Amino acid sequence: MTTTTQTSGATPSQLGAGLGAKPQHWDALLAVKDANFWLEVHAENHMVMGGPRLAILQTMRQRHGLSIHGVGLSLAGSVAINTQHLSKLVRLVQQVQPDLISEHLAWSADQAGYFPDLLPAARTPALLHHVVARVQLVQDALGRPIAIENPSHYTSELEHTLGEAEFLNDLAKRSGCQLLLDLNNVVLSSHNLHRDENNWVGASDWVFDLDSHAISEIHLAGISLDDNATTTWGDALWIDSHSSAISQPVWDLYQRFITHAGHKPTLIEWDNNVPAFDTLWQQRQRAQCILDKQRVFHEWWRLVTSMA
Amino acid sequence: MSGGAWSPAWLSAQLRSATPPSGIGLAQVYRNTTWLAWIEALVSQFPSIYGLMGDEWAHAAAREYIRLHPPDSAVLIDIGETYPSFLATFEHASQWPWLGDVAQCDWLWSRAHVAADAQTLTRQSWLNAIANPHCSRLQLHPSCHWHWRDGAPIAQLWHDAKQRTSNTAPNWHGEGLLLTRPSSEVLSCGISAPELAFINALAIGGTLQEAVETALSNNDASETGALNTASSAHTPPPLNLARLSAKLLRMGAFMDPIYHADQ
Repeated sequence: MTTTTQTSGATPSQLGAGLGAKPQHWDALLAVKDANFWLEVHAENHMVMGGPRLAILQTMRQRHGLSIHGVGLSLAGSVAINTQHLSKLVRLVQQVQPDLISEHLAWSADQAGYFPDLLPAARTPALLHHVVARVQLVQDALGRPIAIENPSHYTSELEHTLGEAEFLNDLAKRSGCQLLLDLNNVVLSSHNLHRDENNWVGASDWVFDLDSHAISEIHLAGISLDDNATTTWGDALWIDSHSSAISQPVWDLYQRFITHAGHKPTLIEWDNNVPAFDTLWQQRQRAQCILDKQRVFHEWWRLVTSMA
Repeated sequence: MSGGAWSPAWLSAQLRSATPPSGIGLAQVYRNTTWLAWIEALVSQFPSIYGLMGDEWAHAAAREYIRLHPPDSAVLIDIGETYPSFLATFEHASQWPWLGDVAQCDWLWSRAHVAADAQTLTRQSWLNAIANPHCSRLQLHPSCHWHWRDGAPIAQLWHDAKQRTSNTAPNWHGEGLLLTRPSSEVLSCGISAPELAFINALAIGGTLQEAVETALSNNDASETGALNTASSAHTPPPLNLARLSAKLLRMGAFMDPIYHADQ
């Protein structure tokens, strides 16, 4: 039985700060009244024929904005995109009509199977050409653009020939896709790869070279430490585990980026060691507060410049 | 793309290796994440195995299964279809010959959980069907799944495992498990051999009358078998068609529109 869902009525540009949805918080999420609140779910957790996993999304969709975040298309992979998997994504999108759809600049499948991780690929002109074609294939199947998320980096041994901002800007321009800017991935990659322990925070400033109009969503998340792997200066590697509160360097970069780029729908990701809903909500409110201040400033600035 | 360090081929080999290869370096970060995700997904797919065997055993068995059968789906709720058959022959599970059957019940629970939605049989449709049993073919609900093992109280073992209770004296006769999901909750109940025969007959397209006849002949065989055994405590209850009908309707085992009357 194919069903479609009535949506909350908010447009993507009206979405404020949202939360990654966890089943243990369904009741609390349903009770949220904020008009600009939204949820994100992993597409693969809801690729089902029916039942409660689909029904809860359709219920949520009537009350809140919704983002479908895929982790399994392996867009940077060398084997052909799994058409069965893509068909399941198309069906889910038709069923719940999300505001946003996103995937990753990563690979997760080879000839022998699938890895439940987002694996790295060297940024080269050949990869750019390859990913542009695959993103276009997905967008053609869905009939709408998707956003591509920047990856986490743990090693400097990949032989990149294109800068990250250059690659993502070209990807957006050539494929017509949007960008999902994960600021936690940016900050932890700076920490993990930069060679100067006193200046690694500044290595994240490449995000200001991104085409901000192409960015449709921002992710904020927390990290864990890997004591068995270290940076060049001996600090424990930061892992993109989504298992803790957002770190101060990420909040700082987020504040600067929103001031620079303006309002962007922002998601709090906390997927492991998930805390009580109140803790998640405090993180969400902190992001919403930054967005609200930016909007007030933006309106004041528009008023001032119109009077000049 | 070359096959050197950090090429996809190189990284794939590091990730699939059962033990961390020497010189893996920072690829170990990805290896840790990949194996953790695989193992946790499989363990959570089979909560009864976790409940029965404990955390350490469940994780070790999951690791061994994944080593031999690396999952090939990006949809983690779809992995583990062959885990029950793996457990059935797993050397460290040989003391529990029904462990694979309990795992199969978990697998079927997850299939019922994600099955297509469908309207269950209405009372009126049921009345129409039983008015013409010789030409009525009931269609099972998409969420309807069942499992049987000769001589083992599968439903009882599975329920005990799910609730993490230990029944020291299970009634050791054949009892299968029936799972359905008429709306949001997966329902479960035990089924006897004649009840199983009834469901199997409908599943292969038999008429209601054929299903009843199959169940009754199976019931006769069961009763004959019971007479030849010493202990009446191990005797399954005789078939009661009215009770079976009520049970299956309550469970939402049939789909509506219900029956296709042969003209």
